Amino acid sequence: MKRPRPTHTTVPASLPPRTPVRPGPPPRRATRMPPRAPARHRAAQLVISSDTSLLDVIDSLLNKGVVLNADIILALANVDLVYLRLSALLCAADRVFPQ
Amino acid sequence: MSRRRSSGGARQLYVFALCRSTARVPAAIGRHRLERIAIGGVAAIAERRTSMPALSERSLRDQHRVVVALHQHVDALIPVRFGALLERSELERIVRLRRSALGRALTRVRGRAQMTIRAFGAAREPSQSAAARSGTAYLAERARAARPEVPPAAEAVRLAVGALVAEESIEAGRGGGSVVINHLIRARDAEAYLDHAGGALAGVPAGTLTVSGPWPPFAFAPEIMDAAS
Repeated sequence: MKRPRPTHTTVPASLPPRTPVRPGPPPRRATRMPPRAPARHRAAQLVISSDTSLLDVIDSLLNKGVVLNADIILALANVDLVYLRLSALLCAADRVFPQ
Repeated sequence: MSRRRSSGGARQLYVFALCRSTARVPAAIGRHRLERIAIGGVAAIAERRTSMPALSERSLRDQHRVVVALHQHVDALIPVRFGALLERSELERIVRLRRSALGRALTRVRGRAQMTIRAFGAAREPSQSAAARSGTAYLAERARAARPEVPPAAEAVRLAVGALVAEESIEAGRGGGSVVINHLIRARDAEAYLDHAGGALAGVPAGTLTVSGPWPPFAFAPEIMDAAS
């Protein structure tokens, strides 16, 4: 069993907005990492393990990752996040191309 | 947001990720009781459910937490996209069909993590030259135009962390982002990556760039068409 790794992010707790997600201007507050400091100290400042950017979450889970079945259209807060997919094609492939 | 009901009862599996069939998987993460479903050399990490989770920020964050926690325990992990509720027979058929691509992907991500650089703001329009003189030139120009342009600040970070990067993907951003750069790195290099990135970010205007990670390798999961091979 591996030792858990910490998750770091430069995104502060308030960014991006937790509800609704719409295309628009970038967040106003600083999201960059602090300027030079001793590495250990700076890394400690970056640990915000319990708060992940919603943009990261949406992008990862709705736009990335392997598709097993996603023959659905996903919509969230008036923004169509369609990442519907090709499981029908995939599932049909073994019929179209029998081995 | 309505939930999609299924007729399969608790026999259906909600899949969070794929791993090697030899991987040790926690029995539970939070309230999620996990099962490892071995299919050939690949295993699906899933829980039994009667319906798909509602599409909400809460359920997305919940699933993200589960996958991140799994990545901390499992050396080679391929995250599965949200909404993968399947019958076991369907899961087995899909995994067997894509076995070779999944095996390659698991090798590719073993011991690695994803770091993400997001640049915010309007994307710059790629420069357009005069009318292409040939079909080849036209297609080359279109290919250049299709690739999002990396802003200078993001390029500086990219250069600073370059020595740690095993693979890279660059794509147009969403939700106000102009470009997203995903890097696949050795998981143990995550702190060094952040350290290098932090140095390159000094002086970058606030709100224009974020660097986050380490994440499970969401952006390096096999594409569906590749996977069918």
